[in-house]
Amino acid sequence: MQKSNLNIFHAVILLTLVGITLISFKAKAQYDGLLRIYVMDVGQGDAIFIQAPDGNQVLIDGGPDASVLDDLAKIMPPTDRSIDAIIVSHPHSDHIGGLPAVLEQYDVGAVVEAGENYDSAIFRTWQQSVDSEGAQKIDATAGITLNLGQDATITVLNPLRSASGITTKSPHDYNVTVMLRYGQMEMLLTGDMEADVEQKLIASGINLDADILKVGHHGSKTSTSSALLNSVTPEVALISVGVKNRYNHPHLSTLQRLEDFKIPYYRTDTEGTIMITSDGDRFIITRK
Amino acid sequence: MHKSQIFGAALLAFLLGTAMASAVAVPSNWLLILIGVSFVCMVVAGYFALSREEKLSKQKVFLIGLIFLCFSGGAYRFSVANAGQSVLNQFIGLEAGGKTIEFTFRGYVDGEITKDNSRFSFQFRIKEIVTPKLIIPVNDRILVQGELSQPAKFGDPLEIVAPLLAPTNSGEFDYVMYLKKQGIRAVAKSPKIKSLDKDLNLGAFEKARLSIFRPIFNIKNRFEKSVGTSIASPNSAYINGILLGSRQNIPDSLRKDFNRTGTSHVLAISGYNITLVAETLLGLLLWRWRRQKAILIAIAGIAVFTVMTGASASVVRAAVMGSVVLIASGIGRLSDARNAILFTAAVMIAFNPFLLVFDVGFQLSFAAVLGLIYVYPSLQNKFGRRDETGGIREIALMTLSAQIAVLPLLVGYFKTISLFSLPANILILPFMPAVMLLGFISGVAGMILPIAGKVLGLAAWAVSEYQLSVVRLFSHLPWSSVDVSISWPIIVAVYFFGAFTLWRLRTSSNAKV
Repeated sequence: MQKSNLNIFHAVILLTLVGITLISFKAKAQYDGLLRIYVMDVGQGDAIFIQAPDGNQVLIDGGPDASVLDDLAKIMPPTDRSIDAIIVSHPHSDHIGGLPAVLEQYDVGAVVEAGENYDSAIFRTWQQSVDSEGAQKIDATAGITLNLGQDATITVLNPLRSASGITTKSPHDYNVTVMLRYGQMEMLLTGDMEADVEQKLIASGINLDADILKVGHHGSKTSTSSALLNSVTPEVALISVGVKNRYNHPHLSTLQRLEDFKIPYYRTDTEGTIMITSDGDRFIITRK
Repeated sequence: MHKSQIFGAALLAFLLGTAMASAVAVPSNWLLILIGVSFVCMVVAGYFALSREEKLSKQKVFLIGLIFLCFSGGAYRFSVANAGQSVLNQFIGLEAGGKTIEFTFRGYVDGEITKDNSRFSFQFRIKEIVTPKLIIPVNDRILVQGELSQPAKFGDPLEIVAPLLAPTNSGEFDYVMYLKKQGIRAVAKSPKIKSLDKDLNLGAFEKARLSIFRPIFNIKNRFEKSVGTSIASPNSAYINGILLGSRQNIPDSLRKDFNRTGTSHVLAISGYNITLVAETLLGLLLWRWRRQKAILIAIAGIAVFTVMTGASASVVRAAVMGSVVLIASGIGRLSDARNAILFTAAVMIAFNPFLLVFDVGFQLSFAAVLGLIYVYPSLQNKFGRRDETGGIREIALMTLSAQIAVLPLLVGYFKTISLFSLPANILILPFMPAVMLLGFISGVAGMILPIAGKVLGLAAWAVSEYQLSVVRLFSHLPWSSVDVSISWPIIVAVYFFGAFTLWRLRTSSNAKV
């Protein structure tokens, strides 16, 4: 122990090297031609992270608070300090609460949102952070498609017409609903879409058929109507919901509807973060 | 008695007086009488100290007078601060017809804004209260809590409209005293906030303070953001915690792991950070400048750092002690660690008498230093002294002595004992300088060139990841944290017993020599 200072210095270098090696292994494992979807356990709220087969990353909503950063850190390698796009389903705090913190810590390429005006403190904070980040702003309207590379795409289904400039008190009406496709696999991501919007989408005649359904509005009884389940015919449903939340989500009637349609479902409050891995043909669902 | 011993005794008497007044309410009239009597004692003793034979007993009278003066002075200081007369008191909790009345306050943001999602809170210095009939000048701080609708930062002049409420306690935590010791006796919740175009009537000192503090907080914010973009979470939050003491972004689960392993002290700014700041600055400056000039700049650097970290009691403790040591080395006088710590405590208590009994950080900070000054030498005697620095043995003994000194306090406040505190500390502490240096460099590099920050940040991430893994590992072992409940009188008795044992050990080892 005579030259202990030197030993510590060496240990630091060694640790750094080991760390970087581990990181590069972890990073390499990520770009293996598989699509990964993480429905993150952010408590009562939504935050879904998508890692495309060639490494492009999309975050849909950011949960209620900055703790989404720790969930992201568990998924993304520490070398990765950027996210290609953020899609905001609607400006309620359980969906955008953590997003200002995400913009602060990650380089974000583009922000996709409906563009309506909504009077809330957290939404103003979010708008200020988008302006200072300088990310590309994309107006979400039906038909817009984000190409994630290697046959993976995200297509906006709702709002049918641009909500830009409209001031609203009920942002669920302009909920940004998207379809994620990779080869043969499809997942419908509904945000907080409610039955009236579901009805409008069905009436518009768009193909809503998908393998996986992210259940709307945390399983509230006003979402996930039988009509929607008839059009989507999912093989499995996922519910993003907080433990013992004060809204009593998911509602028993919604769970009953899923059971009536014989659709198995997984909940983030009981399973934690749920990971879906797909090769564009089949998919598996695991706990992260 | 030696002069420095008299000085030490006087300081100790002052602290004891404050402690007594914090524990039992003493009428301030009695204290004034006591102050008068002890003053007379001193004057009489000084006046009649004529003949040599009598000098000794006169000196005793003088000494007793001095000690009583300091003791009652400390008690008086506390009771005055506790009574806290202010115009603002008349506006707290005013009601009309069952509803609290709103007032318009003008002032400025007097501290950093802490955000918790869209909720914020900050300290607000009220300069005037606007009533329909007249404008009342005041100078008092309140706490403002609400929803963030527009960005505000330190020093921004604002007009807020809200009822003033007295804070209330719920549960075990003494929230009222927590605010009181920060000089806050009123809270405004969810106020209407407007920015103020009109200039506030500020004194020259206040204006200077604002214009110095504003850029300091600005740089701090930019640095913290840069660390956040350079290093992945939660390691970035940890590094911001150990560099600048900002804990608000550290996830609760991680904070709990630190608490369970007795390592949460690394998240608090302490003498260690101050020493690093001072030594780094001195090292850079001595290269070109004369020693005394370099020391002055190093002290200025410590002051800037103290402001940056929010100037909590433990930081101020370390900053004052660090500066005293620097000055002593600059003017070529030996600094006596024992008097330095008493002096620091007395100065801080004189400014804010609530710290002594009501500030956990203050007590832990002083207990740890006392452990290093008094317990460490005895441990060294016991386990053999070796003249090497930075060795594992030294780190282990220093950790152990600080831990022994703070343990009863930790048990008293948090009612737990961390069984793996020693191994966890020994495994992570040697890496503190490395992780602080790497974190600091990547933060600064990220401010200049983001990609450089990210590359250097990887190294900081790797070392901090090692430390966090150790903390998480020990925290999740069974029995890592054991619940213990001991009442306060016993804890105080334990400290007296410990002090007595140390004194016995010292006198017996002196006798042997």
